[in-house]
Parts: sequence; structure tokens; C-alpha cells
Amino acid sequence: MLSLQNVTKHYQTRRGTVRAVEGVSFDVRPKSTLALVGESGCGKTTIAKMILQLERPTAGAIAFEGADTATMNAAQLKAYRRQVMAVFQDPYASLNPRLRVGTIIAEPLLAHENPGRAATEKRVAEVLDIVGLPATAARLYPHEFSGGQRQRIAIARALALRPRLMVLDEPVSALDVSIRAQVLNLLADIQLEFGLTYLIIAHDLALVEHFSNDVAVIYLGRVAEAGPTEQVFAQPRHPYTQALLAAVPQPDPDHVLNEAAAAGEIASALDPPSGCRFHPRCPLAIDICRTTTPEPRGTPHQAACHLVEA
Amino acid sequence: MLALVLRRLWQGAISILGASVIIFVISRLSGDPVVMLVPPDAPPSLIAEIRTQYGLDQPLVWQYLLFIGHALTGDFGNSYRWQMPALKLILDRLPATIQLAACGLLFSVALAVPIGVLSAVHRGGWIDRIGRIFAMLGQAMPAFWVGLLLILVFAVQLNWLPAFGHGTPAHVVLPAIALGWYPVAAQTRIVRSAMLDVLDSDHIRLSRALGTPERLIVWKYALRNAAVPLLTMLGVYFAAMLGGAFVVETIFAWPGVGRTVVEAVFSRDFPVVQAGVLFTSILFVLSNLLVDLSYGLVDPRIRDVR
Repeated sequence: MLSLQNVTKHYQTRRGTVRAVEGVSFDVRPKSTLALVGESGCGKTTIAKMILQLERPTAGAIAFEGADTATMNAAQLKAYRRQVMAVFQDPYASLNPRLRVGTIIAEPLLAHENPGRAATEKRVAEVLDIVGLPATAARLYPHEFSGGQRQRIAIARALALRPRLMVLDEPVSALDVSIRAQVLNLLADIQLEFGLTYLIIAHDLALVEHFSNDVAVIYLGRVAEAGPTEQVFAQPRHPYTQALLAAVPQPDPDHVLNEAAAAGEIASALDPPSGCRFHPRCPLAIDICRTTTPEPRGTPHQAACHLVEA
Repeated sequence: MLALVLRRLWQGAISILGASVIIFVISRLSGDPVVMLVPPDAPPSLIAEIRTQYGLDQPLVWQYLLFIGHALTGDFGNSYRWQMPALKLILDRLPATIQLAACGLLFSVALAVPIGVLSAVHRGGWIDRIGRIFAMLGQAMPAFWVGLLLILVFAVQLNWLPAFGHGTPAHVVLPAIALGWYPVAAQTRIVRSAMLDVLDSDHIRLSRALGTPERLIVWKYALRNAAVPLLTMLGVYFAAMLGGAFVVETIFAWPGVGRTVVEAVFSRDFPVVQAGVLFTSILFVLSNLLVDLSYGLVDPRIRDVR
């Protein structure tokens, strides 16, 4: 449904070129959920911004149902935006505090088809009902709701135009732990009911394991490992994925964290390491890792690591 | 809400009282008004008589208490010069001053909002630079200088607009520009930085992502949020314009409170000076109060915080 081919994003700054995203490729299958995982600063959100056409890729192509978004004209781009909606991380920042909830939810309607007052109000009430809020919520302002309710409002807005793909950028990480499950269940129900495709960005591995069909692990702007979630979690092949999974807290008090799995901090995208970008932290690094960038190997479960057999 | 209004009114009353003390003392530092009223060769007995008649022979503190006591009943005394109630003299001129200050404010906002918004949208571009230069020019030149230039160019050279006087809408244009240009720079900065802030927010990013036209994003969704800081300042600017009007009114022979008070200062007509300044301070306090109350209209979050 959505396909990224060698997508690259470089930012020119005074201190040099930030290589935020470097040659990322993946496919999102229709009606499934793909999760992008990685540490903060690894380029996940930049990828989301490029998919939402808020940033242009420096190189590579983003295709939606076979059509390259870079060559779309204004009308095609508008049709694309109509089908691709987003929910951002912070429900306090993503809702305009000066607008009533009804106006916020109606914004995509207004931007695309402007169906008139009565039809708009009807649709707003419908999507509010879908996300479990009363129709009276439309008359209130965002500050009158809790974080979880606000995220429901953000989801309602994303649903207003019946999109096909939703980009969920850390949709629950700003919420209380007790609310997260409710919002995730809501997202799962909506996906089933309306046949939606999700691209979810997350750093919570437990969430990813239960919520996504496929996963792509990003390290410093590159895909380290990707594949069906079950396989990746059961048999991680890239040392970085192994380190990530080893770092997940376990509810077992006797469990000992393997601190040595990935030493040190994530490197800077301003001056990324040569060869495999993970090699300075990798406990298994060999000479070739320092000089040659590993190509992804294996399918559908792929890993970009010299130590992995194809 | 009522508590807020009452608290602000109380604070305002204290400010006005302070202003009354200052103007009372300062006006008396300017000299003896009786000298202005009598012929140069008047006998000392006549001077003493007039002084007694106006109560100017009393101790200063007693004079002040009398003045405040009467002022509370709406009696600001009679003008020494015109022999009519000072308050009436001021009130008659008040509409002209408010008209001028409102037009000046309108002029500054009408310039500052578009310049500020466009500067933020095209940050670092030519609109941003030219807008800043234009705004800074107004701030760099004093109002009396701008006023004289405007008269020279638009009234004398081009003969497009009347140089002075009052009556038709054309008369208000030059004084309003002279008065309103000064705060354009500050207002532009406020709008520009507020817009930059809002345009960088998540909800604007989302608006873009879901395909809302840029025109709507900037002028409807973003400007609404960026308007609050400007609104705060508007009350202050309106009040400042009431004060600035003193100079501009004199240049353009605008029959407002300012010119009346300036003339009264020169003739040491204390009651008129006191009534004029006190009235201006009352307007100052009221316009600030209105601004405080208007926040709730613009920002729904403030409405609930009493």
C-alpha cells in the first residue's frame, strides 16, 4: 500500500550535514500495522514527516499504491492527503487550544469537501461516537479534556474523512500508563472496523510486540532489521535488535539485564560511523563492519548485518 | 469574574490617586498662575486678592485635599483662564482625542498585523527585511518630526490632505499616521514572534499534513493564537496614544484634550491641567481593564482561570 524505496533525508546545518535518514526501504501491507522502532533521534519521526509530505526526501521515493508522491500534481497530492491521516504524540500540542473540539474535528472535512454545516456536524458527532466521546464534546475546548480524551479527539479528527492509512507517531507514549491500553484497544477496534492500515512509530517494545504485524528496527537513520513482528521478537538477528530486546525490563526480579549488549550512546547523525553505523557499540563487530555498509539480507525477515547469513 | 473586575478597579483607583498627586505638585512647580492673569503692573494687593480667591494662599497639602474632595464630587474647579468648569472643558474635547487615538491605533495594527504575519511566514525573506526597516523608521523618528514631515510632503507639496484642523475624515489621516507609526515596530515584533511560535506547533503541522490550504492555516488558525500577545499590548498602546496625542494634537491643531492641556500648562491654568491629566489616567486604567477582560474572548483557557 505504502512503499518506501531508499528514502534519504539530509539536513544542511551550520555544523554540517545531518544524515537523519539514509536509504530506508520498507513496505506497509494493506490493512496491517507496521511499527517503526528505535531510539530517539534515530530518524523515525523524520520518516513520518516525509510520508505526511511535511518534508521532502533528499533522495529515494515514497509511493502510495504504486504512485510516486514526488511526481504528484496538486490535485493528486490533495487526494493523497485525504487518504493519509496522522495522530501525533502530544495531544496537548496537536489540538489548537483556541478552537472548539467540533471545529478541530471538522478541519479535514472543511479542507477537502466542505459538505455544509449540517453534514459536518453529523459527521463530527459520528466520529466522536466512534472514539467513545459524547456528541456534546464538540462544543467544548481541548483544555476541558484529559490527555486520553484529547488523544481520542485527535483520532476522531484523523477518522473524519475515512482515510485508508494512518500514521501514528508515538500515539500513547505521552499518556498515563493506565490510559494507554484503552487508546490502543480503540485504535485496534477502529482498524478492524474500517479496514485501516497503520504505520506506528514507537519505542515501547512490549507495545510493538502486541500491536503490530510487521516491525522495522531503525538505527541512526538506517533499517537494521525488519520482518514479521513474531519472527523478529522470537529470533532477533541483528545485534542491535538483540540489545534492544535484552534491555526490556522483565517482570522477573531475578532477571539480570545484559548491560554489555550495546555499550555507549547512540552516535550523532551529524557524523555517523563508517561502515555499519552500529559497529562502535556492537559487541560482535569485526573488521569489515568498520569499512563496509552491510546490505539487508534475508526475506521476509531481513537484517543488515555482516554476521547474518543470507 | 466580578472579583477580578473589582480588584482591577481598586488597583486602578490607586494609580489614579498617584497620578493626581504628581500632576498637582508638578503643575505648581511651573510658577505662579496669578502672574499670568493680571497685568504686569498690577498692585500686590490685587495679586493677593486673586490668590485668596483661588485658594492658592493655603498650604499645599490643604489645597490638594480640597482638590481631591471636590474632584470626587465631579468638581474640578473653574478654569482660571476661561472662567468655566475645567471638567466641561476637558469633556468637550475628549471625543476628538479618543477619535485620534483610535485611528492611530487602527493605523498601527493595520500595518503591524500583516507585516508581522508575512515576516513570520517568509522569515529572512525580503518582506521580513523591508517590513522591519519600515517599522523601525517609525520607531526611530519622534512623532512631532514625523508630523512635520507628513505635513510637508502630503499637505504642502502634494496637497493631498489638509495640514491641520478637524472635521472631515481626511483631517484625521495625517495625525493618525504621525501617532500610529511609532508603535508599529514593537507590534510587528510581537506578531512576528508569536506567529513563528504558533507556526512551529504540532497542530499547525497537522493542519498542513491533512491538507488545509496554507492561506487558512496562516490567517485563520495561526493568527487566532498569535493575537493574544498583541491584544495585551493594545490597551497599553491605546493609553500611550492618549498621552502621545498631546504632542500630535498640538502640531496638527487637533482640538483634543492634549492640545487643551498643553495650552493650559503654558497659561498655568491648574484646574484644566489637573482635570485633563486625571481624565487621561482614568481612560488609561479603563482601557487596560478592558484588555484584561478581552483575554477570555480570545483564549478560552483563560476564561476558566479566575
